[in-house]
Amino acid sequence: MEENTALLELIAEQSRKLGIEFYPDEIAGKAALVAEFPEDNEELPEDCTVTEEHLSDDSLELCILITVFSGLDREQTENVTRMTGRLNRFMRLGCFSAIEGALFLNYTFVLDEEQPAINTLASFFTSLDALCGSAADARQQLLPLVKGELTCEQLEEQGIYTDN
Amino acid sequence: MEKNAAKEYLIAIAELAADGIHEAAVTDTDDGAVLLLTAGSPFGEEDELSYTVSVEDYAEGLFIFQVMIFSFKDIPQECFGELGTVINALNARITLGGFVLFEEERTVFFNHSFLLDETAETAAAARILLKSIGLMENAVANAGIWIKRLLEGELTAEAVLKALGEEE
Repeated sequence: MEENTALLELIAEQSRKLGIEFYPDEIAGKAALVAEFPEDNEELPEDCTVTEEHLSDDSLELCILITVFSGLDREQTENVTRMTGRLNRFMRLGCFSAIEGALFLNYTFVLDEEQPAINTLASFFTSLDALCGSAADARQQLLPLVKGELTCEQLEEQGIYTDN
Repeated sequence: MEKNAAKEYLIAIAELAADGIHEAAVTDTDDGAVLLLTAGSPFGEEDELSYTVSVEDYAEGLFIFQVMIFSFKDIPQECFGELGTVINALNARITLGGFVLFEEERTVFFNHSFLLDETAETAAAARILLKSIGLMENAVANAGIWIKRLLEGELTAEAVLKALGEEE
């Protein structure tokens, strides 16, 4: 566990150099990192959480969860849910899903603890960057739907697309 | 990534994944080498799952593995709406990967990709990939059963959502 917490600390430290301010937190009893995006830019996602999970075979999962929208009412959630299929079609890293008034983009790494350096920092930051970009793309495209300026049919007709 | 290096990875994976695999072949496509696998389905002895595994350059010093497990095919168009609702609910509960409805092909596949440093050893990369595939197979088996029950008309989307809610 100490080693893994050290991994999160390393991620937080490296992120700071890239301008992402993760702060340590605990979610459901697990060590976590949380970063909030600036609230004054409505086209940016809301926050990003990184947690770690030990698997039974001594491997490790590192999970990234980006909140694209939160606080949606029932109709907004239904509309956004309908769009998740379109959002996921060409995504390679991550998967969008809507639940309990929020739209999330989640992604999980599997790390080989025998060689923990593999698939961690370089690939982590590249993936994080790609995920943040896709989450921002999704938010920008869905804003008119969430604001009630477009219907699902109009948005589908206009075309909705995310990839990474 | 050099074409031969990509093939080397895919061949190593095919050899490591030999257990439970019915067929495995590495083929060249316009987008690069792709490993095609077929294996038994958790949904019935007569069914098979098809896997495609590709590896290509992503960014400087990194390449991307993409695994797709084609789980359901010939889906009637009238099911798309309810199926989309169920897939969203399942994806919200799956930590690694997610189901995608590809409407044009009337198929559902399970997708997960990950990046690896190009200096990673082939064997280590293959181990990570196989672990990921194992987790994907669990998700396909455990979550996919709800899609199967919906497609067979056993449950409505509303009933699946209710059952998923009760599971938690």
